[in-house]
Amino acid sequence: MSEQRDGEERGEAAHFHSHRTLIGFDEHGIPTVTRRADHGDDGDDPGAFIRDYTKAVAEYRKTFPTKRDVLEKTPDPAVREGLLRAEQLGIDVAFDRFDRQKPQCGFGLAAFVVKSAIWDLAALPKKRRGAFAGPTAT
Amino acid sequence: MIVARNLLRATAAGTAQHGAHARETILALKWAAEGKLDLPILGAQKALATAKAFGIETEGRALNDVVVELVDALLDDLSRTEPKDFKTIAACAPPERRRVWEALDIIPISAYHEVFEALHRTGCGVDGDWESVMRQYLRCGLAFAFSGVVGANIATDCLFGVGDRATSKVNLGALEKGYVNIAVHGHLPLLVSQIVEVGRSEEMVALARSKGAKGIRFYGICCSGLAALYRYGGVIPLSNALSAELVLGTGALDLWVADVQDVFPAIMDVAKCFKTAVITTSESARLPGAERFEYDRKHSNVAETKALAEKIVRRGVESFASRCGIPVYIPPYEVEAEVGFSVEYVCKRFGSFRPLAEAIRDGKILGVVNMVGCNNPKALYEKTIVDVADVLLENGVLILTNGCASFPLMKLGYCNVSAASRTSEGLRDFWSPDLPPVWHVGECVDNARSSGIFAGIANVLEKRLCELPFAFASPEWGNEKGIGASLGFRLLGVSSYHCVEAQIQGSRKVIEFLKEGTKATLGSAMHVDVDPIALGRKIVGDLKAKRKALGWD
Repeated sequence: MSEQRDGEERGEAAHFHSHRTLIGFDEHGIPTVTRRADHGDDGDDPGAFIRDYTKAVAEYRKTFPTKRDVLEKTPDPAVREGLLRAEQLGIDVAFDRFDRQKPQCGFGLAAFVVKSAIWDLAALPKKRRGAFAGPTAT
Repeated sequence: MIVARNLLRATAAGTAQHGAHARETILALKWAAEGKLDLPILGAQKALATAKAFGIETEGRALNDVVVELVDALLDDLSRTEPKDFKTIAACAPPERRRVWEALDIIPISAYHEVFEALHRTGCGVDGDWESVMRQYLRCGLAFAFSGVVGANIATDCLFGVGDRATSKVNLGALEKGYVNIAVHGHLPLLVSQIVEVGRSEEMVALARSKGAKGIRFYGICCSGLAALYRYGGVIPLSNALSAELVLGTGALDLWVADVQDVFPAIMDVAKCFKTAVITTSESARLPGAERFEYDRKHSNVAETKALAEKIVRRGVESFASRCGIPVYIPPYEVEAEVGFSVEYVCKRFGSFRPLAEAIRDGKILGVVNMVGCNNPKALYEKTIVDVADVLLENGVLILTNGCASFPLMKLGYCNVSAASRTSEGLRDFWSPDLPPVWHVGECVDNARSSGIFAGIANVLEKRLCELPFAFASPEWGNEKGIGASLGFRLLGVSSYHCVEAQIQGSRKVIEFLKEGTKATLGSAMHVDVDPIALGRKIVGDLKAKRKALGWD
């Protein structure tokens, strides 16, 4: 744990955050294994991981392109012209709908959605249970 | 635990989707062999060779009888309830892999069973052990690969033939005004094959001309059309599923024929703007506002396939006649692409797998990457795929491609022979004079062709797949089938690379399992980097490390 946290204190941004020595998230929120586990859950503070991945999902969302990005950078000129034509005619395309969805649900992106675990909340560490007290727990 | 459950449920869904594709195609082959469906079995050689691999007697027997026995084996693997051998794995998987999977206890009972069991154990209060849920995820992955992909591929190749390499025009510029323009969108080959055949008949062409059209033309969206393209020609690929609306937005389409998977309901609004008639052909996939010319739930009307196809083509002609004056704008971009690569083509072109395998061993070709997958608005549309491909080609990698990811590669000239100039200098001679550096192997179930090419090379070199410089990349993957596709290759020992993360960030155990945990058991892992250039470099680095470990460099 100390390697990552030390790095952070020194201002090294390669892994903006980490939990224990096992899982880190890169600057875009993509999880990586920083050191292979050779033992089970070591009883570390589970709240730390929740904070880490919540922040990671927020960073990951920032990498999602906008329709404007697609219009400017997608490589096929036929797609770019088609998008402009659709825009001129007021036709809604998938990229418009994706923009309107933003910000995407953090629970969904992390798959931390308990729709198939109605009565299973006891299996969660105490600090995680609170997040599922509402309608997501159905 | 929650994340593991959700991942398993998504994988089960993907297995059901490819499995449904396989089911209709395998049944079509059976009905053709039994005479219920009036279609010739064009891939007799493939059927006989596959039957032999399955241990089915072929000597002195009628082809149709052999095919029925083969089909029954495929259907049994798809749907058995009683634990028995999974025949497609016994016949088609490398023995080394079978031992790995047996040790992990992940060989499926059947595709239906593993999907059923996945939904069972992720239900309320059933499996509370994340590791056991992940083991079921691996079982679904094998069911996906061997029933959904290999099963579908065997049936398609047996019924419609393996096809041959072909040159095709691609992209929107290939649309032509003045023709009855019919798009086929989706995945299932049966009805599409007949629509294209009927559309070429003199009677239908004369009908189109009588309405003032110059003829009838067919275009492919998503995987439909890719399978047709190199088998009987005449279907021009225009776009993957994510920009289907842009194809409709040209105003040039008279009829849109949709079957199953990756057909978004939003196409209806655009079709309405341009008076394009939309037809759905499967009871599994209806769209509000679309006309239904469909097989029923039990395929009881499958014997009327030709009549159904004719009705559909006639509807296209009628739509053409009623769409006079609709504004059309066709972006003027089209290019030629080489398509239809297969294990059979490699043997034909090179005489055997030896020249290709030796070029890899000797370092002319750095490695082989199967670059496939859907698109996803989370990654910059088509640029993500092309950026990864550029890094790979500069470094002398041979790319195999299929499905939605193959569209930018086709449209931007990567599947053209001239693209050899984009590859490392030492490799240009190898492609010369007739090969592109990106080999288009077909639709998404043609991942079986890619794994067949991997296996052909591995056999010559007498190495395990996990030792060789092979990789799987689905940079923009997006749907549940994409989870199974990458998992299928990781189960073979081929690591997978992506620019879109799976929905796993909420569990350190699942993250660890996917990114590290399977290295020791399967010899492969999953890598994600949102930066396509960095991902390309990671693939190249890993291929080089494999070569070094083999003592080749």
